[in-house]
Amino acid sequence: MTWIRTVIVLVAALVLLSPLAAEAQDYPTKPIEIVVPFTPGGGTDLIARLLADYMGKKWGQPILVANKPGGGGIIGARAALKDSRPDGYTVLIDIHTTSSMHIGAWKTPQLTLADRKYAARIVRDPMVFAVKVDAQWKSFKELSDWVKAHPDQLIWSSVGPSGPSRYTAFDWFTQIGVDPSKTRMVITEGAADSLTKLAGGHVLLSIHSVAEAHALTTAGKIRLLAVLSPSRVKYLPDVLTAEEQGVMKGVRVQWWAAVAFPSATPDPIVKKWESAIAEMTKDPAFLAGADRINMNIDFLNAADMRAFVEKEVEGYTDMAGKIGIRR
Amino acid sequence: MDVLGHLASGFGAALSPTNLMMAALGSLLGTLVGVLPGLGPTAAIAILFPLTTVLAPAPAIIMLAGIYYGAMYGGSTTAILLNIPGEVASVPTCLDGYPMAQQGRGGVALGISAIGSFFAGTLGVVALTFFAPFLADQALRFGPPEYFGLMVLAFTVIASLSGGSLVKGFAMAFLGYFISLIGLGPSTAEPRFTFNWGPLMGGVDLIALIVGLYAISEVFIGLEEERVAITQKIRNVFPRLADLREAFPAILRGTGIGFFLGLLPGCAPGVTVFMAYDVEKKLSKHPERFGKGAIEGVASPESANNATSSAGFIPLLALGIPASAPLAVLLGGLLVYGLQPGPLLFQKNPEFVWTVIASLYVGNVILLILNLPLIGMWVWLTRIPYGILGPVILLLAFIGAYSVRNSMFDVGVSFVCGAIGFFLRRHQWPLAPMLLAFILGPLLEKYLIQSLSMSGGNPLIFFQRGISLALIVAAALLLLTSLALVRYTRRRVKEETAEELAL
Repeated sequence: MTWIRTVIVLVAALVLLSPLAAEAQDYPTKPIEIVVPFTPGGGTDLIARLLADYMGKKWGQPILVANKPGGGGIIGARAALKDSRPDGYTVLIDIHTTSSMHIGAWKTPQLTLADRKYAARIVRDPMVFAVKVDAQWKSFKELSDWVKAHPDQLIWSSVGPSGPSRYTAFDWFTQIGVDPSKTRMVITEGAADSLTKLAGGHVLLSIHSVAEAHALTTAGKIRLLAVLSPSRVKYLPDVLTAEEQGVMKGVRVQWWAAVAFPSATPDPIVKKWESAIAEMTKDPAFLAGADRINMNIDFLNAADMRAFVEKEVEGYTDMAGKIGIRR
Repeated sequence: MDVLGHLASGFGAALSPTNLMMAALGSLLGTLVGVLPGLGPTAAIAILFPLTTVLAPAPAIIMLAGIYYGAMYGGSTTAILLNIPGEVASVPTCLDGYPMAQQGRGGVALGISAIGSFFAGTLGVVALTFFAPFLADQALRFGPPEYFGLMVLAFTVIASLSGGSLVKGFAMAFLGYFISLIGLGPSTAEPRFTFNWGPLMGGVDLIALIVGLYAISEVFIGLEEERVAITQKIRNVFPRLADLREAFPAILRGTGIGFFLGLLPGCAPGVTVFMAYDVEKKLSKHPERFGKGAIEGVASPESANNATSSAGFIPLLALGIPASAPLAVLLGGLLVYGLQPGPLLFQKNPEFVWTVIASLYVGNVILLILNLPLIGMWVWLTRIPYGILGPVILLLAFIGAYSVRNSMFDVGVSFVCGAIGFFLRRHQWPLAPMLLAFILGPLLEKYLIQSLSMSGGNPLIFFQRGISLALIVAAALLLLTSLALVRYTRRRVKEETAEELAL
């Protein structure tokens, strides 16, 4: 029976030695988990699945998407950044609400920028101002003038009390000189909930990202008056930017998604992701997938992403203080 | 739109050997998991979902839909034979199904449940076929005030779910609402009762709660009683003509209630089954038979359950709004294949939508064919010795609780809920009002705040809009009638049996 003992020793040796062999150049040697801190079906989830598909084929390892929703995304983000091993096998899809907006809105945030290392940004999805398809306003300028005259008649829907819609609206109100507290804000559970209320005529205005508003726009239920972006978006060639219409200057709020790791993750692994994502965002098959979900792919490398987020944190801290929701 | 043309080509695809096999396999697996005590459709879909990911989109969704239907039916089997609802939607089925089983009429209850489910499911799908595009628009007319009215209406059901004691019922509803408050508030995102502890921020998960209250407490009770499995023989699953005559109006009403309420996004089978059961009890000439094995008490909620499930595909496919937990899992399934539900789905992917709709017809037929002859086998499954089944249920319950959010915290929650549920059940505190308030409480709060935001704080908004006014008036009437009826029933029961009424 010595051969059994030999086999056992060999297997044990392999099991024990395998972590030593797993250097960055061999990475990945086992399945990777991508944590999405939201429910299936949202923009974050869809982009994670495209990413998993691409990287899975590229590296020949299964890449699993794990949805860990709750607590505005903070629970899943914590699980990925703080409660997992920093070995590169747990990846977080990090977005504005789990990073810059969260940090801006809390005096003692549960997660800070020091808790993460960015590999790259994948998506930048600008915000749009949407009204019902048969609404009286023909342009963003007309709507802004009407709101200036009747601030108390504007019923608009936001997602959560401190989500992108609220910050965008605040920016807009401040720039056109309307007191935000005079308007009527209806807080909804998400883009689908909010846009359904808009299409049903229960609210007059909704502010969402391009990808979120796209389906109902194409279906002819809602109309987009302006996009909040430095330039027009390729999916919406006919929608003017807010700046083109002379209503707002600059872009302080937008939807984005990036890939982040726990801060103790080895640099070579993060670098490997950075270059793989750079490649991915040029891949025609991936871009076709992104087109299907109307996601505006806009790559930003690790260093630029860091600077971008730091600037956002400043902006949101400032706005949250002015709105009175910083606590 | 040429509905019939689309449907015909849909059938062409749904009847292909692969798709037919997937529908059958899904129904079979769904029933198999659903029949295991304590496991409902959500857990079944969640457990079996990974199996479908290797398939192409259409067969995968067909299989998932089969699992969904199968698990719903499997859930009824355990509700009837073991008094274990796998999901809220099966709670009313227990009320009369289990007494029927104790009277040796378990086979008839299962048979009527299969027939009612088939009838309602098919009728629901027919309606889905013709009204889906039209109804996608109607659902939009329901704004926050209308939903608020609907929630008020749903809340009046608590009165009749309280069993013997209204005080106990409302106390339990209050407890359920309190538990639902834990976490971030729906509108303010203000943490409530979280004690600054991270995991509590996400609140108590519905599945963990259900699995704990019903499945895990069941294991505790089973272990305490050193339960032996039911050994009764299921003699005849085909109901007699008299049974059918008695059950048929109930099936029709259950289907109607289940379907029309199920169209509203957010109205899960958990709500409609209680309403259907209640209506049946209200309309009955002998309401005192309910809870003691009335066949209508099985037929109506079972039909409502399946009608709501079918109707739920309308807001799901047409608006992308899942009406219940299992449909939310299905939504996840659609998205995995890059199919985004919404008004566009019917225009962008008509072949896909209509293949799925056609396969729902096929699935209902398969389920009926599978279930009537196989009832014996399902019963045999429930007869596995408790020493084996108990740990298996516990394991599956924990997997179910874990799989929703991939969180160990939820497993802990389910265990705690199991202990609480065990204690409450031992002392005859009704669980149903607690669950109802847990589900509906946050919705009521949300719609109230949203409506008042719309009106600038003016509560008159609920009375200025036709639909919400009608719903609130209906709720007031229903509450008065049910209070009167509860009092009447309790007096009658006391007169008849000198015992307190327990549901």
